[in-house]
Amino acid sequence: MKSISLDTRVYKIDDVHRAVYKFADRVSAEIAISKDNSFISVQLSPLPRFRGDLDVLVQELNIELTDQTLRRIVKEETEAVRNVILAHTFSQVARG
Amino acid sequence: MGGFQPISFYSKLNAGYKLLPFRFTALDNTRIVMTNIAGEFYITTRTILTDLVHHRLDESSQPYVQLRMRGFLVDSKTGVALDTLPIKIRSRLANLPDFTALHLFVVTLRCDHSCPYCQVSRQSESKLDFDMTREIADASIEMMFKSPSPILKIEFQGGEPLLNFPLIKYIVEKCKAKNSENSVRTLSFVITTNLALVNDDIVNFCKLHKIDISTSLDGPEDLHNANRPRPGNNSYQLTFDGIDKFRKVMGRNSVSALMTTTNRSLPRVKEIIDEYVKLGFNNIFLRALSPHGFAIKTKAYQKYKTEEWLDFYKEGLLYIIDLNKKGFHFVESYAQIILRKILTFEPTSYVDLMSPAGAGIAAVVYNYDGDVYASDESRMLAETGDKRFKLGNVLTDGYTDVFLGKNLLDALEESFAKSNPLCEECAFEDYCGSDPIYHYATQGDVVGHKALSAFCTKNITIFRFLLSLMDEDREASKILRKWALR
Repeated sequence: MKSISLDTRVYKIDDVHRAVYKFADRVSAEIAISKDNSFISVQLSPLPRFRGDLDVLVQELNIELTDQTLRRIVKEETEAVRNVILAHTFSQVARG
Repeated sequence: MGGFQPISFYSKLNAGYKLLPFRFTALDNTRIVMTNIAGEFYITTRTILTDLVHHRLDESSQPYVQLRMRGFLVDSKTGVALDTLPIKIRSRLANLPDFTALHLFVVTLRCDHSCPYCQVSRQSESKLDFDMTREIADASIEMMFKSPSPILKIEFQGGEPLLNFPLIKYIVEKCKAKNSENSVRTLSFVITTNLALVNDDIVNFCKLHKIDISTSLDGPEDLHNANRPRPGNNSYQLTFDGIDKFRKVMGRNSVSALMTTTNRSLPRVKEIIDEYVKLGFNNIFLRALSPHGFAIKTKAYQKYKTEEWLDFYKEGLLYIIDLNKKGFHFVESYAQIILRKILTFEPTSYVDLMSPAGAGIAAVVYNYDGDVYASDESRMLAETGDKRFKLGNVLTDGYTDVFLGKNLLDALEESFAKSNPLCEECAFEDYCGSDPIYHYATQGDVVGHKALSAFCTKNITIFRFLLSLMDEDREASKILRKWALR
């Protein structure tokens, strides 16, 4: 079992869920927020089929957490233009 | 006299770009694949990605120029991506309004082979209760012609369809007559057969009506016969003779072949490919075993893990690329389908790599008993007792009952990859598919948890493998690009 502690000033809870979800084939996770909302704790328990190194998995998870943060930034920044592109895409859908 | 400002001073003056929607996924430990909203890709590093997202990317840099050109950002110099991206997205979906083009007629469940991996749950040759009747064939043809598709491809399936050849003849002639009455559809026919029962009458009929043949060829004779037992243990020889017969009358390209990978196949991919080359084929489809029918019952499906099949696949693909490098044109068909998705905006009708799922949209199955299924896999599922994906029956239900029913629409909507966990953020989503039947068969859910999905693992690994090859090996890249454009 491994525990990691994430500063809520840096990580959002949704991003943590999304990151951990990706590792569901290898570990189960208990996620909790501290009472003062200052940190998120993630407790990882390897599944029976997991044959790797848990320390390495934690490193991968840390990378994934950063990736999820980037994805959220991109999503928030591009939401409006994404809607414009999709509206334009489907505005001309008609069979001749 | 004053000096000039450095070039960086001027780039700051014009600083400012807007991100366009994109996704990214790791290619390996050092590289990232980014894809824009239309699925165009760009391979880069995490550093570039981070700089891009935080608006630190230098507009004079190569990555910046490439990313602007490929629709990952816009700036004051050009916003043309906002016009071209919608066109590209529409292109990928262009075949959807045509709806169902491929119509599978299961004319019998009887078969003369006993392949343990059979996904069809075949019946023995003597059980005539498992033959399609003319009444059901007529009703199926009526339903087929209600499809809006300008192309109708009729594929005869089984069991072994040649065991009910009189009905095949009936359906072909009926379809052609109906088509000439009042529409201008393009009809094509194919029979999927083990070729064991081929005779001159069958060959001549196929020649007359331009019917293509699709057969099974699992590899060299010993492997093929071990995989595909029949009385006399001569499946390979009959296949060989059948291919020869058809080619002599209808030409080399009249016969295509598919292989199925079993435990026995895993160490022999090069021999399997060599067998296809020897028999004059220009392509092979390196297929994994799907979790349906007898394959589940005989546990053939569980006999090798995804990782073992991927090793088999990669070894085979590299071998094929090597053949191409030596001047011999030979294609791996699954890679070709994927490469077309990666390198063009051409829509695919390959059911497994469609989202919305190809079930019902790309193909529909009219079973011997009149039941209509969303795909061949859902028909196979039904033969094991689970009729979750039965859409109706041609004798009792109308076209809209079948194609607008909950069984189909719910599965399509729920499994739509762009709104599924993990798929929606995956850089490879535009190249992939949703396959609700696979996930239902393996996880009991049409969406499935993709971290647990062998379908996902298989496809992501192949996407990474192909993109890495194109990035690292210039010669392989040329070969793979040619495949995509054929």
